[in-house]
Amino acid sequence: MKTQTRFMIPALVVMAIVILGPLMWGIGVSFCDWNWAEPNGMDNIRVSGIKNYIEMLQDPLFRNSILNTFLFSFIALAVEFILGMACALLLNSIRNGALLYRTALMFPLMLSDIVVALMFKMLLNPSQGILNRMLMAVGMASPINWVGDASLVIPSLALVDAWWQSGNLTLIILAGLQSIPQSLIDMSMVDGASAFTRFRYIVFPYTQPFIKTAIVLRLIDLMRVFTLPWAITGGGPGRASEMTQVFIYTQGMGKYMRMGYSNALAVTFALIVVVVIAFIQKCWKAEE
Amino acid sequence: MKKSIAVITILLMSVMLIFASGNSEDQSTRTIRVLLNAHPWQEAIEPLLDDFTAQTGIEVELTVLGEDVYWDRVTLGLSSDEPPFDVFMLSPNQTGFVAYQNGWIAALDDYVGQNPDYDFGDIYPYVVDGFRYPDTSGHIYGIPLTMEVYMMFYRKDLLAEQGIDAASLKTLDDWMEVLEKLDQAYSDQGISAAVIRGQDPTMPDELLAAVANHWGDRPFIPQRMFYFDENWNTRFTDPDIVAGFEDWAKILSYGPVGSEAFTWYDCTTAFASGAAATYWFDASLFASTFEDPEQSVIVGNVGYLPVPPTETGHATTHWGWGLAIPEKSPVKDDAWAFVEWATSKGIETQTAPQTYGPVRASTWVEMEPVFGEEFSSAASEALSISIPGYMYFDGAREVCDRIIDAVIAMSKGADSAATMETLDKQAQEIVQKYNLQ
Amino acid sequence: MNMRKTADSLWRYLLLSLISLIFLLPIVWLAVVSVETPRNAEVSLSSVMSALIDNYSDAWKTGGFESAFMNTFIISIFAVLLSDILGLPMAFVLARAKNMGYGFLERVLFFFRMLPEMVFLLPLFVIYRKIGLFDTAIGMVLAFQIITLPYTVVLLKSYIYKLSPSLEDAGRVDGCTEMQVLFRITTPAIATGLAATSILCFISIWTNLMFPLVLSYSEAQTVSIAIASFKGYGTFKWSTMAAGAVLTTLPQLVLFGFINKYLVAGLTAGAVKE
Repeated sequence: MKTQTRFMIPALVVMAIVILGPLMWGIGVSFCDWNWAEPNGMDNIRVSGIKNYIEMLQDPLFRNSILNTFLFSFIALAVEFILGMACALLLNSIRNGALLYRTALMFPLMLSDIVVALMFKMLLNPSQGILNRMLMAVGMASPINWVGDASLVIPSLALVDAWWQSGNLTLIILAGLQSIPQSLIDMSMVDGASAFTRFRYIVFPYTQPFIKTAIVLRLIDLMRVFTLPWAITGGGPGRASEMTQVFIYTQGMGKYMRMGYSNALAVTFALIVVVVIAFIQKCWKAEE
Repeated sequence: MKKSIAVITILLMSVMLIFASGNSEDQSTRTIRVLLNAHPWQEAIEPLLDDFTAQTGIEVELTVLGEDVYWDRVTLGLSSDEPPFDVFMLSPNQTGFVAYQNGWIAALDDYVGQNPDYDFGDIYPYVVDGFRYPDTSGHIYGIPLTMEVYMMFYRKDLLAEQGIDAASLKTLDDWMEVLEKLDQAYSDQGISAAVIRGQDPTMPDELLAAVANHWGDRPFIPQRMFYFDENWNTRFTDPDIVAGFEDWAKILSYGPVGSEAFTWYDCTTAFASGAAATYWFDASLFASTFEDPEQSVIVGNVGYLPVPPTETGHATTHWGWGLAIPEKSPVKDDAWAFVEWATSKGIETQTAPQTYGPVRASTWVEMEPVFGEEFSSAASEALSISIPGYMYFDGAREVCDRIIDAVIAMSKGADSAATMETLDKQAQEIVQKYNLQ
Repeated sequence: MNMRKTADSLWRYLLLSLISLIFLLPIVWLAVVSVETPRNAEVSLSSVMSALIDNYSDAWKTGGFESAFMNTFIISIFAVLLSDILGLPMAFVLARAKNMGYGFLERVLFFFRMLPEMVFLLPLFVIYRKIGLFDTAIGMVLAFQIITLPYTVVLLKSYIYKLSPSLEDAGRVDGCTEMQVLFRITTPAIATGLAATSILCFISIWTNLMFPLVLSYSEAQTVSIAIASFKGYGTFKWSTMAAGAVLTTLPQLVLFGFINKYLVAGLTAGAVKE
């Protein structure tokens, strides 16, 4: 073996232990019945084949959590992309104070998700929260039930996420904008190209790889969302904001202690995330 | 190259050694680890812990957790081979039942009689019964420290403003009319007519009180509550159960915007901050919050009542917190010393003014001037009509989750007959899934 | 023409200011709540000061916050160190390899990044139970490698890749072993990148909620859990909760100040082709 290759062994060994180990173990357990809440359930593990997976396919709550997660991810991604793009373009176009605005725009990024969640739990409280109080002071007739209304809760959570993470997209897209050679822009100015043409033929091609990266990374994190619904709504009202990772947590550790079933859910959800991301990347590749 | 691997291995080992040495504790002092839920009782006992150490020489290592994470953490800890606590707060609930089934909690029967001064008989037996899993003939797994009976609270000043005499309101129906009146009078002032728990994992426990209030004298099996008969047939379409659910959903619809998502925390905050005129089927203990000027703007204006009767019955349920010891705790005797001290008569007289729910008969008598005549008589009347409300069987958690779903749906205007029909079917599926029959 | 241009950029500044305001207001509100005086108290400078001291010391003492703070520091530092030690050699190989097979390894690292945490945490919880690593700092340090190790490798690789190999070759000619090349030549050259990577990893551990929620209890509890368990009886005071939130955020803010420039690389690690 070459010396250099050996350099990778310590890291690869640790990764095999802490990453691949649990992964394989979890896949194994997903084919077993292992219910800790039953009497002596911890010591009672039985191989049950694909029973857990069959139950999962028939579980309306799992389907519900997947739908919630996708809806949340889609809304949040759309808002974050529009806001992020707009902020990046604006930041790139001003001369003075860009650093100041940049700092302001990325400030929410510096908070942890649990702090954001607790903050908005207080802000969005329909009767005590400052947001409704402010809106009512400027003339809104009745308070908005941000996270208590089943039809509003997912958009509300998505907006919270957008508030928190738009700066993420701004920064990445801005980096793309700044990678455009100034000479290209100068040339197009001399040629008298319209703003739209400039965007279509210069800005867009240069920023496209950055945008794609940003979208893929955001989508991964959005689909894995846990803290916001866990801490703000607990999945409610009803199950209107129960996202998949929260659902898996309740099935596994939170409440039911169903190790086999929850591992089957986790493995399936991991597959779903991977397939979605792979599909998007494949589409983009085909385009190129 | 071998050298580099060796270097890394040594580094790793040294990292681990540092942790290992950091974790080792001095074995010469006796220490117990106590896990408490953030609770008025915990606030009352915390300043007294030094007394315990002074008396016994046992150090107390205290961890306090908010209820949002408390139950998950208790289950996590109990299921471990080395539970990270020696004493913890427990309730007659599913966590306790699962712990009992798995042999995670220690039976305390042998301890309670050891010290005659402890006077275990002074503690209300029916509160103790909640900690005898799975039924009242079982061993004692927890020593009660507070109890709470579900009652109702109302704003005397607001009712007076509307010219309503609370004493003239005899039945639940009378009160429902009052809610309508209060709703019209105050909803545009930011005061809701009522507040009641919505999406709260523990709501089904209080909901039992609303159902009990309709059930009357018909028999039922306490561990299955009203919802399943002796053959595990489901009874969610029973008129009394439907009526209890409907009451709850109706009151919930009078709540402030967003109250479908309210836990006891949100309800109590809303009522204490003057944003609700009535507060239904909830714990007597919250009186301690309402009468505390630091936390409440309605001190002195709160009226206390046992739940108003219905045509078919008049009953409520109660709840308790106790202290329990993990079966695998290495220092059970020291842990018991703490439990005995913390639930002793002397300590309870010091904590009771903050919990409004002592568990010793003698303390209730002593505390009457502290709690006020009105609260005391309402609470004792509520206790006299209270029946135990527990659900001890596999799958009870799932049933509870479905119950919450149903109540929320009904408060949003879903047809109650259809909703209860669905709930009944779901309950049948759960019975099958867990082979209960 | 000039007028139009001024108006044009004025419009941009206005829009940016509006967005910035929306982004900053909730944080300002949080800070204000954290120094709120108790009910009925008169608002004056001295009352605000005493409220500040009260609320923050309340927060510091509530729910094991103090020990959680220390735990998180220790766990983060050791997890980052471990990742750096293990990740540096691997990143070095990946950056300098001519072997195409290593591209596959990088894709695997990105694959790990995609997986939902639960797929690791449920098994780890059970395994830790069995082998006694549950609720230990060592257990947490090892578990966090799931996040930080691939991240460190990918980031460091990009820094080494940008470095010209000529210095390293010169070192080899002078008779340095590969080990010496890595630690005496390459590592000092990417020192700032290494520091930025470490800080990014530190922050990702500091802010993580799910790992400690599942794998720790009290001994190895971190600040996120301390903050999450603030809500409860007796803490009807939003001000204490807000003070706790501000306290946990302070170290992050300081650290972000250091790595402002490296943030983009950190955000996109592993997803941009070079």
